Amino acid sequence: MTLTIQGLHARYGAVPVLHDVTLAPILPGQFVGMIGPNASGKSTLFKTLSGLVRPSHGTIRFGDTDLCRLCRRDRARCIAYMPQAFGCNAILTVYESVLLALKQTTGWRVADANHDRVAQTLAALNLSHLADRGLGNLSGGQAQMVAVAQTLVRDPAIVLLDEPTSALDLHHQLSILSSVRAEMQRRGTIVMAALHDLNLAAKFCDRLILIREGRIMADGTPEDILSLPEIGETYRVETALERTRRGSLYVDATLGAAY
Amino acid sequence: MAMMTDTAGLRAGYVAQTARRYFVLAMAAALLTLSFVVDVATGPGNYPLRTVIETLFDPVAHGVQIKVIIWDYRLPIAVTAVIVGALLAVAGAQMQTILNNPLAEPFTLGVSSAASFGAALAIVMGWSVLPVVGALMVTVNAFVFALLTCGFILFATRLKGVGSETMILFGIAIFFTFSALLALMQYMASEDQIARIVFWMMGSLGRASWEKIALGAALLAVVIPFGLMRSWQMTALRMGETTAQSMGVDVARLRVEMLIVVSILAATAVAFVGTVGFIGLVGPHIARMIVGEDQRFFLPLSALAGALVLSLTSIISKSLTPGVIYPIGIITALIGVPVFVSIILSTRRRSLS
Repeated sequence: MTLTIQGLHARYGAVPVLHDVTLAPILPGQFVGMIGPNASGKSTLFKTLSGLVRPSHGTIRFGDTDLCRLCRRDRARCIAYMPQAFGCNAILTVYESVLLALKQTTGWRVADANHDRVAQTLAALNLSHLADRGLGNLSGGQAQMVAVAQTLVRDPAIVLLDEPTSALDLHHQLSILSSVRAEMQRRGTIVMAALHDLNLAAKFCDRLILIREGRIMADGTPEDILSLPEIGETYRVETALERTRRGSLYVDATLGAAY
Repeated sequence: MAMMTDTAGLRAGYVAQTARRYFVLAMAAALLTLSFVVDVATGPGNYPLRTVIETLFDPVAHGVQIKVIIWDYRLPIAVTAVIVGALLAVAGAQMQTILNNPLAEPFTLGVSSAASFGAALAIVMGWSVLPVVGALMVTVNAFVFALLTCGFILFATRLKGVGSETMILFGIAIFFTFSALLALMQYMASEDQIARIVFWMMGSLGRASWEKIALGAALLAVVIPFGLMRSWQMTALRMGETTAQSMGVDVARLRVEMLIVVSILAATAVAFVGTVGFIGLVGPHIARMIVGEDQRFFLPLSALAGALVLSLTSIISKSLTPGVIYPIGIITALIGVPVFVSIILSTRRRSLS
């Protein structure tokens, strides 16, 4: 099933944040990168898709289902949103916190199938060794990976990750994104991730969407999008897209004279 | 293959942890039972433990005098200690979770001082909020004022920009407002009335009656299952409001539901025994340190810990000076607080296993 977003508007009070967001259908298994500067509306788009913010106009459809008509629980079953990591002071182990995310949309009793799902998710993200650790004893990066696990464990059809790599070192940036990509492609899950690192976005995304001041500026393959002059304008830098000797795309950015 | 054993190992760890938590709950219940029996056995009269226990099972086994002392005096007080301890601790536990503030409890949110003012109003002015309550006027006034304060807190949480720190500031504002009004009442009161107000405020289990006990027990019987039913959502709330929402929890609705329920609990407990600070704080904190914040265990253990602490307080209040029963509000503060602080300091760095 595909995700279609049409004519989406959202506002915080009187301040409009999203303007007429329309996207070509997003296909199952697609890894979509949302790029754009701070405060461009990436998080608001995710919150609107997951139901935390009510759109003032527009439709969000998954297959034939109008997501805005689903109750909160059903919507959470379909769409899993990982907010930006802020950390928390709850006294829970990693295992408990991941199980907790799963239990919101399953019955009260902890079933064997629940344990299997939690253990598999932790294993898929290489987090099994942290299972008994208290949430308060995690590093920022570990907490972020646990948050990803909390999102994936629910086995949703659509995953929205808000800056999933912001606190991670280079190794973990690559490992978490490749784990997520492999696992989600296997399951046919749609992934939308807000990313600040354009090189990471180029490496992992099938499709990039450039958003600026709540408007969709461009939508296409990483190579097409990253070579646009709008990239430089949007981020207020001068950019040049190159291909490295190993074949990866590389965005070379400098502050430049114009900015 | 390696992943299979890994999976089994993780589950086994969780199952063992769960078993330990059930064991802790059972131990707490056993300790509470023990404390309860000792509470009934202590007091002026110095009856042997065996006589007391036999009277519990067969009221007239040792004559009518002992029956009256045990069944009409000591038992209601001991049961009230258990029930009110549990009520205060459950109210504190849920308030702390909902308001995301470890300091929230009926006392710090000003509910107790509002109740004191309500009681004083009845004692001094003979003025009742609800007509036709007769002898229960003091209790009913305290209840209504406590409930109104909870309603105000509920309203305040709905205001935009009111965070968890602001809530406690509201609590302090409520506390000072009612303290001032209370002082005004005392200024206007006669000597005899002042004595009654002061005694009410000190908190006492001596106002126990079987009607109040039945009401308190019924409330617990409704509220604890209600809380347990929502325990996964309540635990999710501890992950932060946005995360909980993204997991599918209707946070606004959960807050309102829980605050309404908890308001009734807190108001009832305060109306029954007067100002008893600290139980609503210490019960949940002990529970949190032992079983963490999985609400399926945290809530019942908070209730048991609160009940146990108040039951022990009741024993101590009778044992300090032979023949004198000190008001429990004094005991909880004088003995409980240092114990509590030392628990916090000694376990602060220990990580959760």
